[in-house]
Amino acid sequence: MISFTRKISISALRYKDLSKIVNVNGKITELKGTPNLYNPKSSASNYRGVLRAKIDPGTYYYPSQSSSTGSINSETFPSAFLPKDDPRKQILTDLRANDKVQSQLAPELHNKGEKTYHLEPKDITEIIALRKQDPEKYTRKVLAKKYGVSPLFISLVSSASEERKNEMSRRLNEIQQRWHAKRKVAREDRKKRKELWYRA
Amino acid sequence: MLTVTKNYSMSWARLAPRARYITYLHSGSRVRGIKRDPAEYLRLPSGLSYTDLQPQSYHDRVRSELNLSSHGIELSNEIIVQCLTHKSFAHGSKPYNEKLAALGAQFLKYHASVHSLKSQDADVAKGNASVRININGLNFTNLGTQFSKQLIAKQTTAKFIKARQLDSLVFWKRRDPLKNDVYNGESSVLSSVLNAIVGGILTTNGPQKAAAFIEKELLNCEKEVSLINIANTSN
Amino acid sequence: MSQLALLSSRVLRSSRVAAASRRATLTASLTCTRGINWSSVKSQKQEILSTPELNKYKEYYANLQHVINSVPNELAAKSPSLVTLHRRLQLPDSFELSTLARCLTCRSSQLPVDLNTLSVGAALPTTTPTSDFQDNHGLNIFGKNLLTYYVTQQLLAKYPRLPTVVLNAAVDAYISQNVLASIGMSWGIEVENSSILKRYLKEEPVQLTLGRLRFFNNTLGHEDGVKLITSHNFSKEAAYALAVRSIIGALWAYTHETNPEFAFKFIDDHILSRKLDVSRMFQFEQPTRELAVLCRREGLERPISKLLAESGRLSKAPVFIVGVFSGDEKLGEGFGSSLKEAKARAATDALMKWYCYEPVGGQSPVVDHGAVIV
Repeated sequence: MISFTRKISISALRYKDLSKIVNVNGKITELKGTPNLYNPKSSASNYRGVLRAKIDPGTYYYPSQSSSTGSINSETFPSAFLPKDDPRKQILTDLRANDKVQSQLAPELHNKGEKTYHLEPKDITEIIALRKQDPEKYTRKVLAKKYGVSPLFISLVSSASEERKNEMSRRLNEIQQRWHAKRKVAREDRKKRKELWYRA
Repeated sequence: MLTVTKNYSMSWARLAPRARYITYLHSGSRVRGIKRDPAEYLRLPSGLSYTDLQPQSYHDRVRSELNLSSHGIELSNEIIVQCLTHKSFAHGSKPYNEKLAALGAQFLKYHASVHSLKSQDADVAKGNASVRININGLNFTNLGTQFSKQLIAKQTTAKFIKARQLDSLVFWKRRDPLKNDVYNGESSVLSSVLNAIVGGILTTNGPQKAAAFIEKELLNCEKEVSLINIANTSN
Repeated sequence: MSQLALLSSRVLRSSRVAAASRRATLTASLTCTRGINWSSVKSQKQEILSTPELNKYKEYYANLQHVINSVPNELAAKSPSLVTLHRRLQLPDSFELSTLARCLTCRSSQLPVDLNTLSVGAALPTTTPTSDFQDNHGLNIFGKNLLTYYVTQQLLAKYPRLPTVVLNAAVDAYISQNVLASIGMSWGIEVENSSILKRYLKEEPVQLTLGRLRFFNNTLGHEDGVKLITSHNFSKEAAYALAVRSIIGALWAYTHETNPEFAFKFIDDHILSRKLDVSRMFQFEQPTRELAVLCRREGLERPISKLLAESGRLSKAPVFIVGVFSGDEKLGEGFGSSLKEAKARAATDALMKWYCYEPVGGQSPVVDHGAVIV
């Protein structure tokens, strides 16, 4: 291992003019897919094609073919997350030119719009009073629509009464009691699977 | 072509009632869930505001109290403020000192133990010279004693910060302003400040300067306010 | 020979009977008669017998205790396991063998009385009690301080933005007791398992025990299969960890003046060279909220999830690929068999890329603003 690296460094030292190897004009050449001497689609499994592939010597950017989910390698960092004096910022910004296109063309999943903070304490006391008064009629969804906020906000500012909570959990328990054994197991599996989503 | 979707969403917003865009920021007694006015939660009960800190009254004061310039240590204003901000302040939305304190505490513990090893004082070292077995001049039986633990304990470091008049500059939020300091955990907050300062110096200036700072400022018995003197007086 | 056998059997029997009688007191089914019988028998034989073999054993024991309490360097050099350990770890020549032997001596004086007696905890001890000035207690404390400081510093230098919980878990993964114990075992440190009596009967030279890890272990288990559960402070793992930390502490002591980086390089080679994948130490709750707060804190545009690709939406196994964008910049990408899952994974991916950021060599030190608090 030691002798191998030494050879590499010696050979690099011999090249006085590195511009033959290193791309000095600033643009990074990208390799898309494995270089193959033969037809890359039909001869994908032919190792000889990969072995004898003809590409100019130099440094290429050869990105991973897979999604960068869960990867913490430096080439997958978004440049917005890098501190200002990180030397890789410019390179990453260049590499991510495709992101802009994706951002503009891809449809949004759930866009609730900008957050608005238009409710005042008196509105909030109204919300609390209504919810306490008749939780069946004034549910989170109804109150949310009435005041132009999200149901999550209604949960943040008010809580359901103990009675309501007990009633809801009683109903849920009743439903869960009647589940078939397989359904119970399936639901538990679903919970475990969901935990794995948040583990990257 | 697909910028139409973007425009569509924008125009829908324009059609909505104008009242949507008046932001209400709350200040005063707590209303659950509502957005608070930064001018209120970024201000300490003493009146010190996070957003307008004057260098001569805050940052330079911290530097002079700790004699940073005499040790050749440079800490930027942001780092100083971060070291003096606890996690409880502004619900952690401003940079706080938790990790710096963790690192600094361990560095301080390491250097305090080195200091204990090198000391030959009778109250620190156990046993007499004939029984002690030194390793390269360092006496390892000094460690684990009550004094060496006291040196970097929470109470001692908190008293250090108080004695150096830095406790009024710390950004933190009391759990219950009406109750006493023990209930609110003031000593752990102040202790984290000192540890964070050590950690900040270690991260930005390197281990040699941080070690020199500890040796000459914190563990120097000649200084009037030092960890050694505070630990001695509290015994 | 027969005399030796007689002595050994007598010594063994006395200790066994004592052990048996004590064990009888432990169990509920005690009959006082047994104790009384024994003491009445004892009182009949008041004459002191001459015990030449027992005296020789006592001499051996005293010699052993003296050697462990003050390890002479020449004697230590004759201990093969000690010398080979020294060479195997490539310790510098200034690191004395007597100190290495000291590192393998665990403190026993603080063992609780009921464990330390012959009949209950240690049926036949494998080592002698040592003075507080010649065990690895202080070295262990110092080694622990040194290790936690250095490992934390290196981890923070590598991943400055790790949340405190993950940082603590990562430090534990490098230097917790069990990990250090496994490192110690891989160094070839062996536990002193044979009792002093056995060693005396074998006429084993005293210095051989110097190269083995000596602690008051539960030898009761070896004799009759009864295992006394002791607290983790007196277990094998604890002893190994003590030894490893002491060796590192002693190494620092010998090299900090001449070559300050030597001890840190040792820690780099033996401990920090182990692989740790921090990305597997995270578990998020509501990552979408956390990411939104993060973007607000750092002054980025609010994150919006967008569907990048999908396949088989109405089939049994759909695949959705969702990206989380802040303005025109993609922060993270996630896949899933439902839109909800893909969005969740995208948010966790973005947060991972924030927290597991690794600065590059020539940058100024990155001081994190702290983990995001929702």
